[in-house]
Amino acid sequence: MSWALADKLKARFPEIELFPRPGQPSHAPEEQKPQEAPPAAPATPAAPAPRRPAHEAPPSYLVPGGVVPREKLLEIARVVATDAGFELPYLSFVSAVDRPEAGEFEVVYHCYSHQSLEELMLKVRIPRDTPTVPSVTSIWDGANWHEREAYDLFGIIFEGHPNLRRIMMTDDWIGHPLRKDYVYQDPTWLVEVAKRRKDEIEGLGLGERA
Amino acid sequence: MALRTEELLLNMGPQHPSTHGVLRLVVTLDGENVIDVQPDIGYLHSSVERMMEYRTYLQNIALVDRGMDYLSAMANEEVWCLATERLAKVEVPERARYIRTIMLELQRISSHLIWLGTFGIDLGAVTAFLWAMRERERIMDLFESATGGRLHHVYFRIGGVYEDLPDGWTERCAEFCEYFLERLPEYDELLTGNPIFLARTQGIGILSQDKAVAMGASGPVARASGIAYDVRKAHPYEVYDRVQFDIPVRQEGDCFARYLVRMEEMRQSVRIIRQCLEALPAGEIRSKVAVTLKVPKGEVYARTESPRGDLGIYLVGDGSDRPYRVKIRAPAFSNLYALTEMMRGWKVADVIAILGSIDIVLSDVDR
Repeated sequence: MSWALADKLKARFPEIELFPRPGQPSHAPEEQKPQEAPPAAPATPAAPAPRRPAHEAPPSYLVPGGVVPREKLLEIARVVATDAGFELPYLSFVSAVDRPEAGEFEVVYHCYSHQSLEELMLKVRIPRDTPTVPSVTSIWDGANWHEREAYDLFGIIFEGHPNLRRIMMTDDWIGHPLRKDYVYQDPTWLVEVAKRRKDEIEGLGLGERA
Repeated sequence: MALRTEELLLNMGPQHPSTHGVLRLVVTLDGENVIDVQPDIGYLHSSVERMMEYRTYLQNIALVDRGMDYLSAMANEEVWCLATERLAKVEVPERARYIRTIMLELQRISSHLIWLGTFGIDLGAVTAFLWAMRERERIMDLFESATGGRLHHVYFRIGGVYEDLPDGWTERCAEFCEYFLERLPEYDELLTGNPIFLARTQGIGILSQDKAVAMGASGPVARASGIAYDVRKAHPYEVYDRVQFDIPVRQEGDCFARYLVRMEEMRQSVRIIRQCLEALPAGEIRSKVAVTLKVPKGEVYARTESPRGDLGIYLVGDGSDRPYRVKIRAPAFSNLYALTEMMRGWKVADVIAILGSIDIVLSDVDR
């Protein structure tokens, strides 16, 4: 859990926005409010900090990394994977987080090295209505299935992926189940089968006894 | 006149006995040679990640038990509790950490025994399966007396474990360790030196070290390809930093190397259990945590060494009592992807051996 690598990446690509660190005040405006609380009486220095409800505490990011602009993803990923000083050749996973209130997806990449034991999390924010992001399969081969999974469950389109098909759900599935606004819909063949079965049963005169 | 030849598409599964569940392999064959393999997964997909968003942190313990890898339920509980504890900053008492480590290692042995038995059956050695089940039964009994469950335990809690060990459990566990170490040489006699077994596994299904890293393989599969990496050593959790154990590593990268790595891992697990039993401190087993635990906003990626490999959970909390998003990094998912590389160029009969050697659980792949 060292932020050294994240700092090094920030120095090379200033457009990266690092995650707020534990213990460091966040710069988001709504997080500043608690600090404006009236100062505690100096006579009782041992008084513990008042317990705040969990949802008011500032967010804690326990994985070093940062948010990367979509256009720069491939360039930065290549540096992270291969350049001396970074060399994180192992991609733990690719996934996404749906943020409907912000109207965007966060695509998450976790990079790791077995040698240096360093880790780095890259995030790309993409709008929900045009969810496209370049595929990193040319850099990390292991991203192949993970990107297919994110495509299947979130509907994120990975440009340049060699085989972008659904992997978990069937090909005729409607919608992307991990989106927050997902509602299950019967596929068309199932609707037809159900209708046929209903007609058959009614034809037998079942369910309409006098 | 030239002989007309063409590639043959062979469909294996999803109901094939050697696919260990519901996995479909579409194998492209040229005569007997495998040109390409495309695994078709998703038959067991239950969208655990979505279901977890609707349950509280405590309820999710029961869900990860069965929704993920059902042969190593303890490992799933561990990674879930670890992620939650790190984000919510919950301390785990000493005794609970030792108990957890013992349970995790017992689970590793039991999971490896299932693999050993089914791998033996795949290659025609049915005796190994019966023997492995006999040993595993003892572990199941230990689990049952401590947790009440044999397969799904729901034993770990956020901040500890559910109940203390029953009277005499540690003695029975020590007895098992002794019994199991006596049995292990029998497997060596049955399989390790068996010429048929060697012919089916040695030099078959080679995965190079570079490919293993690039394709995201982990666990015994990666260690058999020369990657000396184990999460228990690299990022110790529970009490793995206080016990002595070795990581078995092989350079060959073939099916036999994967077999040897797992066999040695079982010995090392016994070693860890014995040290934990000796050092097991008295005291609390659970710290006080609210049933409706509210986890602060933030993100964490916890990883553990499950019997199958690098099992991780990426957890996004939003300050409520339910997780906002959970991503399960399943080891078998990535290992199965590496299968496409391992199988290319081998004979169709090797498909079964290679598939058996990577030890997949389809519930872990599909989630």
